[in-house]
Amino acid sequence: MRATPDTAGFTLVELLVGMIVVAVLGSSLVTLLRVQHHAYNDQNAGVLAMQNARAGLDMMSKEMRNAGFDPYGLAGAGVTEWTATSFGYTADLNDDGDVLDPDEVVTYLYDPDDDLLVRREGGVQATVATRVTDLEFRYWSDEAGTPASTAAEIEQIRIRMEYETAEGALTGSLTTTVALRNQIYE
Amino acid sequence: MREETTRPGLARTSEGGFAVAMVLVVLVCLGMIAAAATMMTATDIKLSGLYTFSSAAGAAATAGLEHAAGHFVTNGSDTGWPVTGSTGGYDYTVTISRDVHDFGTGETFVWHDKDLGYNGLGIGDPVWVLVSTATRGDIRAVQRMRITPRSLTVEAQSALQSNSGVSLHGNITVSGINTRPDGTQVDPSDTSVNGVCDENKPAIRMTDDEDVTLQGTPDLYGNETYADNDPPYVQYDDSVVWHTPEEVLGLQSGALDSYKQSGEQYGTNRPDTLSGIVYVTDDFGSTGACATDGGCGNIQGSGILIIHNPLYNPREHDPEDPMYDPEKASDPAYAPANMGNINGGTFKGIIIADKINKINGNVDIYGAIMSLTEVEIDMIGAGTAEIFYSCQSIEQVESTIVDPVRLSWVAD
Repeated sequence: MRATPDTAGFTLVELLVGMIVVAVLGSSLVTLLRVQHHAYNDQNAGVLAMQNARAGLDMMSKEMRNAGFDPYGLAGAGVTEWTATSFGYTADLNDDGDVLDPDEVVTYLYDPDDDLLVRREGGVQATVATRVTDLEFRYWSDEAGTPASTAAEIEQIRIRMEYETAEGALTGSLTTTVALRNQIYE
Repeated sequence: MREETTRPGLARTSEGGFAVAMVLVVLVCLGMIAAAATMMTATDIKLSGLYTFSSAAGAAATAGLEHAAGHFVTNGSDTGWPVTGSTGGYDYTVTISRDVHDFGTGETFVWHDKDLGYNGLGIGDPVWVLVSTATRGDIRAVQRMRITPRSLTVEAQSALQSNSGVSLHGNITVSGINTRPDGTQVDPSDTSVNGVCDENKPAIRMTDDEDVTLQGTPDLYGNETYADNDPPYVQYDDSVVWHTPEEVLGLQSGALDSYKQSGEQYGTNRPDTLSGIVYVTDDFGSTGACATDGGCGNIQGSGILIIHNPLYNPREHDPEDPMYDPEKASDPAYAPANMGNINGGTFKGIIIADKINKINGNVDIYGAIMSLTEVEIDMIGAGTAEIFYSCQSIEQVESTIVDPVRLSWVAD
């Protein structure tokens, strides 16, 4: 006699067990995905924050190297402000013998209230980097790190910048040294 | 038999249409999300690339300036300009031009004097502007540097100058008579003493009251003004005492730093012909006797030979000097660099050495020799060596183009 195919389906118990197993597995999977997603977001935010800080630091360093550019010794260009959280300089960028043009008077400073790296040109202020939690300038008179005692002595500047991500989940620090070539040249 | 529970026809067709619409909507949404993500990624990549390229272009422009400054040393301002090259995928071109500025009396060429500074009066050395442009596709960076050649002034006032005792042996000849590099004398009878280059000098100028000891039959000649001195043709004059090569050459401290090198490559035997500036920071030549180290070596060529330990300060070694430092005086790291056992060859130019021991054999030197040490170290000559004061050789040295002075730099 031929066997009748079993077409009765699952029992209620089987279905319940199956659903519980699926629920547990699904829940685990969702948790895992959430954790991964969270980590991905943190890493992404960290990379963005570092990129933001590095771009700001590089831009500032590049521009600071122009400090004291005074091709005819007539403009009196040099370092005008040197504190732990701000650095100002003048440079005769258009060779006209003065530092009266707006872009020839530049100050970089840290705004601790809003966690910003700020660039001030003439009277105009612009944000260079956000989420900067600390900024420190150190001034040296030589490569060996001898502290400068006057503005004219400054030849090297050590800059340390600390930053964080939007939620503050990740923090980081960047350090660079800028040689002020026009202060070094004879 | 299982009974059909759904009705064929109308209801089935309606559900199918809804599903198609839903699929289309979902597809459109997914497409938009994908497009937005792609655009954002592309923009990020582009921004990141531009930022990287911009930094690299600036570095390439700086490299161009350094290349051009080196080219200026060997070729001057007339030959081989513009200077071109490439680095890191960027092409750079550097042009040179005389700097022009209005100092209040109309536009004029700019000059730079180390004391007066910038001027339009023709005082000092001409100022040149190097403009370096680095490009790669649309990316471009421009930098400007002003340079001026560094002029040398050699204040040689004798054939041999010493800040300490001198001991001459054998048949060595030291002559302050102004002699051409071919060995002929300009005017041995000239007795003028004006301090200029082209006149006869004393054989030896001592800046200290140490003795000049003569053993054997050494010959001293010079300006007849010093003939009655004891020994003859030796002048004692402490008005100017040099302690560094830069002081001798009228340069600012550190101006010769880029020329420093070890003396090892110029060991016992030197087949190379010296030229330009050779600045060794340790011993040059043989330190031992000729018989034990295989030869005394020759000195051949022209230019400026400097044998100087930058850490050595003669004053720190002199017990009578207020700067005397017994620790440094006994530390080999601070010891003077020695020119030892030069035995043959012909050199035309200036030799500046912390300490000299010995000038031997049949070596001929046209120009001047200066020893910087102040402590009691014999400067010994022996054999038939000849040292002639030569203004022409000194002037040849003064025309040497040294690493140019970098006056200012800016990134546009």
